[in-house]
Amino acid sequence: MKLKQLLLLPLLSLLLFSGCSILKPGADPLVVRVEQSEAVALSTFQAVLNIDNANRSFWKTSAPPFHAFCEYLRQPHVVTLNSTNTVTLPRGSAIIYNLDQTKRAYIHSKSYSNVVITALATVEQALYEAQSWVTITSTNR
Amino acid sequence: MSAILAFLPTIIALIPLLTKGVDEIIHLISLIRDAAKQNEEWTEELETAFLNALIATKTDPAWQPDANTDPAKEGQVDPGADPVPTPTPVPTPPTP
Repeated sequence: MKLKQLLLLPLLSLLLFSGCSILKPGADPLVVRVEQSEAVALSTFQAVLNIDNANRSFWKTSAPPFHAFCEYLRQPHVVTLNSTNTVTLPRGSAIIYNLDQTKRAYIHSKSYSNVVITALATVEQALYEAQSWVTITSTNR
Repeated sequence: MSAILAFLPTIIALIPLLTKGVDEIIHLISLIRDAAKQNEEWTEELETAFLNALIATKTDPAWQPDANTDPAKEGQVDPGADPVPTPTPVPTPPTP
């Protein structure tokens, strides 16, 4: 446990002391927050899936819950690109895509902030799980 | 000593994974720092680039489920399979 805390310390301090910028005038804080979450979620999912993909059979036998979470992110889902076209994306990308579409609807109408927050919560829940797995797979070796 | 020798193959198998994991985490931290510095809404170009990155995951090997990458199943067609997966509600992910 102490080793894990020691390893997490540089990561946490880096995140804490890197600082957040002050928003420019006119920028909607909710939209910026959604965009930050989208970018971090995509990067985190990519990192988790790359770690698992480096040796799937190893993770499947040595850490089945981790591999199961990666498979959860990989399951195909159909999303609507526009009124006529659909595309099948992995679930990890699909929930981010749905959040982005909700954000765009909010930008154009400014009346769906509760919907944006609900979609954001879905992405952040998966993001939290993925970040937990990054920590576990990086420190429990 | 014999216990160490017994674990040696596992330790050797972990080395490339550890290297990959560290690389991924360093890259991830730099991306999180960049995201934290964002102070305005995305431009149309950034928005398009992000959506393209999302759609590119469709063909990324790391994003393919086991069923699509299992060499034993390659080339086999399930006669009962639905060619277009239907949308399903997002269930609760497995907890760590």
